Amino acid sequence: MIKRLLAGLDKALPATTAHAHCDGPCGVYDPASARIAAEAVLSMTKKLLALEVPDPSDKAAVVKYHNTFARYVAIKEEQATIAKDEILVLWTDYFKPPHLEAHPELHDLIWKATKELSYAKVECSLEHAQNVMNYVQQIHELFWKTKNRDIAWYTAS
Amino acid sequence: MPSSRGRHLLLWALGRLRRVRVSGPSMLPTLQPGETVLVDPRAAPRAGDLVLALHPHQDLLVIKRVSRIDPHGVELLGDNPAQSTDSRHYGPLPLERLRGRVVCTFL
Repeated sequence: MIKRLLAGLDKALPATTAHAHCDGPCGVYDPASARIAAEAVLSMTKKLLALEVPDPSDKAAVVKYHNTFARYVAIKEEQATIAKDEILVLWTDYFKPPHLEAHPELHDLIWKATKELSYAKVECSLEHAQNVMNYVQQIHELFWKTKNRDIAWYTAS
Repeated sequence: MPSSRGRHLLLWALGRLRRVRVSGPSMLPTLQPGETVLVDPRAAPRAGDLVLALHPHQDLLVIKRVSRIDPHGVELLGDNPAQSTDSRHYGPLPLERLRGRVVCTFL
């Protein structure tokens, strides 16, 4: 009886919703996603530098060359943007003031990593792509230190 | 968090308490997602109380625990810090954003 009455009142006076919330997929952060994208940037850079320029009179080969070249550049651009986003999400969402106190180099490291990603887009440079990987590795090490976990660095390629 | 008594239900029926449904995991284990609570919009919250407040940057009501309160503002924390966005991220809230104190769970 009381239950039915309350159910009726519930309908008549519906509750507003308040959020006991968390922005985004809570607590699930891993620098691995930045590492995979950074690896793709390095791989595309290597492939671009290794592309052989065809004989200009061989039209089919020229078309194929430009098509492949454009695809590699497009993937390099896209993956560099993804790597940058992933690093910035760690920076703005995961890392907290106490992490910065324990690792004062954090801001500089993020700045350098994302800056190198910009260079890796603007240029087709093995050096910049390799620098990106080195910085992502440093972010990986710092990140897992803040979680007191010993996760070994590895690469897919 | 105590559950409601007849007095609370009466105050709610009279419109003095506001019923609010909790969405999200940041107040676990105190409040379950989907649970409803009764909120007193007139009560002045103190440290340790659960409160209803307006998010600092969005048109969104949030439920959190007061960790500190003074005339300059109120610091809110979720009871489940691993799954909570709160004053650790957005800083203290101006007191004007408080919307009431959570009095009890509903039923």
